Amino acid sequence: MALLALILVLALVASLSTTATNALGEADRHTPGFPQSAEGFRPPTSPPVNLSDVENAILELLKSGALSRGDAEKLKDFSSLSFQEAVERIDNSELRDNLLNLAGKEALSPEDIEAFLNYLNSLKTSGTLSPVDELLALRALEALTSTIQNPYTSEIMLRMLSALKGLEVAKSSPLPALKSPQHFSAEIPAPGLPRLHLPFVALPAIPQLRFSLPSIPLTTLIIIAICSSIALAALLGRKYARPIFKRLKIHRIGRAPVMHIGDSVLEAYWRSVHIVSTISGIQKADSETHREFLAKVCERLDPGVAEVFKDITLAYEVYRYGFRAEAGQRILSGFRRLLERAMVSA
Amino acid sequence: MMVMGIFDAIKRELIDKEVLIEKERELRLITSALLSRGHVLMEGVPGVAKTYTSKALAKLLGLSFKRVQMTPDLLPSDIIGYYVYDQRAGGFVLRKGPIFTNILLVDEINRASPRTQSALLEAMQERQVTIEGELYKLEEPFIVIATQNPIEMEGVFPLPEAQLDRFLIKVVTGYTTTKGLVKIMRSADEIEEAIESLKPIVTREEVLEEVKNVKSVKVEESVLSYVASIVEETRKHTAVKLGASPRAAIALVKMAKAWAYTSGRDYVIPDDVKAVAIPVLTHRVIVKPELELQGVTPDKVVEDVLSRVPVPKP
Repeated sequence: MALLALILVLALVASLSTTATNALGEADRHTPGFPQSAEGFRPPTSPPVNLSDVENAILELLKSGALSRGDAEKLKDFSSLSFQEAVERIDNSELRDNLLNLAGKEALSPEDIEAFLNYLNSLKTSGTLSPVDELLALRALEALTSTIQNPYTSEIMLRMLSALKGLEVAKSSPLPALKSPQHFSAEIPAPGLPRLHLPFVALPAIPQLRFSLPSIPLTTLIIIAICSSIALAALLGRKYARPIFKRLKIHRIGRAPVMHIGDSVLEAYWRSVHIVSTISGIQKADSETHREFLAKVCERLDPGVAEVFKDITLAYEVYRYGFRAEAGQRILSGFRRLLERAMVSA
Repeated sequence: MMVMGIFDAIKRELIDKEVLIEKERELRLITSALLSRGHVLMEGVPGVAKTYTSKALAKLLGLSFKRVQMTPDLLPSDIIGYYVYDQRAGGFVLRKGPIFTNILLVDEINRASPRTQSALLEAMQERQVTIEGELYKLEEPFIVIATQNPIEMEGVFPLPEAQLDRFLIKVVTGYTTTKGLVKIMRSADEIEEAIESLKPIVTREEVLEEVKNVKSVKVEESVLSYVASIVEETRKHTAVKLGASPRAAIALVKMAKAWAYTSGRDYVIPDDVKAVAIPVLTHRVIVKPELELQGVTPDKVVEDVLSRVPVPKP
């Protein structure tokens, strides 16, 4: 039994490993939503933005009349402005001072740039920063950092475009509904305003991390379930099932079918047939004689039970076909012995 | 002496001493037929100890034994007998044929002409013969053991169905196993001598007494119903052209009684009926020709019937 269980467990392991190998093969090709390696990961690319794009956008705004003459003057030759020129055109004095302080530093660090950008945000939030001043401040910052390794160059450009958008929106009324970054597009003009072709800007989508197991076919799951059940039954079934089956068998032995033979001796024989059938699992066929049944059933009975049943059968034969009433007593006593032995052997 | 004792003695003398090898079943069937006053048709290819079996049985039972080799030119008078003029007596005297015996072995009965076959079968049925208008009773016990070659062989006159019905049983005897054949080859000379030197173990009178005893074997009513069901089922069987007759039913009961008696019982059980059903019924059941071509044989039909007819219950 343990050997059977071992074989089944081995079969289960083999089945699982086969499935895992197959599934792994598929995972190697692609795992849904998960990069295979860090090196291979490439964020979604956005169109490159440079100063000429920003200037083109300014010109578009100018043509459409979204820019006032004063603003247009300030933003003139935007792409070719130097740091000094950009600072001079800023209205906000505090902002100018900050920029000059920044320029006064010997070496700009990324932290300084980040701090300045945060400062711009705070001004914007407080409402003391006009879009034109923001654009100029960003232009000055870009000019200041163009000579160093600046990780914020892209962000500065994006902020410029954002400021331009703010400029466009500020001139329009009512305000258009807010859109998600993905849906934000200059191709949807505000009512009554000329169409502004700003480049589409979308932040790279954060890859959705998803933990997924390799898929296991249904048939494999069924095989695993069957193997597990059989292995468990083989390991534990004997221990637990035996008493249950024994009780069931004893119950079935005791529960003889209803017979209306009208002869207690013959009834005892047929009850004996029922008992040995229950023990051996062999049913007596209608075309089978009592001797044929005896020969067949004895192979599956304990020798003690078989001996008693043989005696009952021969007595039945004499009683039934030989018309000898004295054989009846042999059947009745044999039946009692058979019942006792059957309970023990069950 | 009970015949069971005789059969045990026969078995001891012929089977245990290896005078006849692997012929116990045939021997028991012939003994049972003899006790039932029935005739036996033995079918088998030449050289399977048909003659030896009959001769040995006759010798052991103290009965007279004669053998006739059937040929196409054999006349009925060659078997029954005839009157011949005796000059010394000045009149006709009866020259009895080989039929005047207890056990008559008719070798290759299907080689005889239909006329001779009919004369023999009439004598078998009536147990008497008429020669030149005079009636002669045959001595009891009288049993004909007719052998026949398989009908596929050339130069044979198959027995008509009505005449086949006169035989109580048909015993099909075949080749021995390789082991048995080796035994036969090793002691072929000794076997012949052993058969010649066999001594009777019972007298003719004792055999007749046992024939009476067999008649008194009890057959319970439900067993008779069982036999009737079997016979009727052979007629209803889809593969059968002609089923078993009432004579077949009587034969089945007779043989079952003899079988029970040789088993040491004075009552018949369904097992006895099953044991003799094939020898009793197969030569009486005719299978439809189209199914015969497909390999359905009377043996298979009877086996099928036995597997379907319920035995008496309870």
